[in-house]
Amino acid sequence: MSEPMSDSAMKLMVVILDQPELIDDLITGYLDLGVQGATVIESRGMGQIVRQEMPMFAGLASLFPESTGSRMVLSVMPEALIDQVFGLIEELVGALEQSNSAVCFTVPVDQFRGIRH
Amino acid sequence: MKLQSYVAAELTWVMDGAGSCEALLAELAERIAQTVGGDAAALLAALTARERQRPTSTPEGVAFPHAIAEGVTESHVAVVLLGEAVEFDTVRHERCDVVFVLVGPPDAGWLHVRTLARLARICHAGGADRLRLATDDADLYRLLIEEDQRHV
Repeated sequence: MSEPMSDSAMKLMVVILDQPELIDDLITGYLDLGVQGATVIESRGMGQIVRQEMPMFAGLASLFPESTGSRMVLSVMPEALIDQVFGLIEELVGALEQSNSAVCFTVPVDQFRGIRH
Repeated sequence: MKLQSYVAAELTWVMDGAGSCEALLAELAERIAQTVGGDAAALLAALTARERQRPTSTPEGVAFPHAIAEGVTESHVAVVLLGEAVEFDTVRHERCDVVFVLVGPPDAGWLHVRTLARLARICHAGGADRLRLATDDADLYRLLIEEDQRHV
């Protein structure tokens, strides 16, 4: 059942998860789907910085969603997994078009070298 | 992944109880070996050794005893719903009444990880509670497949 990572058609999946408490569920889902590695970074959105640290914009703070921080999850994976991963994320946070809970996108990977499982 | 390839109706059981974690694992090792083949004693030893490392129970009353065991040629998942819950971890968690047993061969470590992750997802967000509604073995299998299909 283990799908080896092929050199062809690899994507970098970037997920910015605005509900840090969901990170365990996301990682569990990644394991389930066969994603064999990811890097998780504690991150902050621009809106959070504007709201908390830039008083000049205090009057317009409501334009930016409140946030307690986010997690950025970076993972290189076969293109064949991408639709399932988007499905997983929507399972966790709801429809991405209607949710402020996550942002995700993919980037083509020209070369990939490093740890393989 | 989907569970259907690894769980069989013959490996889902609704049981009254087992008395203790040790007795339950022994009973399940015997049943699994009878159903799929293999050495029940070796399977029990592997399950017990893993459980001693750190209990596989969760706060939701679900346990995931698992073992990679010599002599096992394929991965299998067995599921048990207990009428009387048993204690897997005397300190941290509630007693467990939903128990998944995963066994697999030494060369299928990654599949083992994926299957455990799948089971964790299935039990999350009310899944375990829905499995608790099973009335008999066949019902438990049907509910498990339903839960599996809820997820990507």
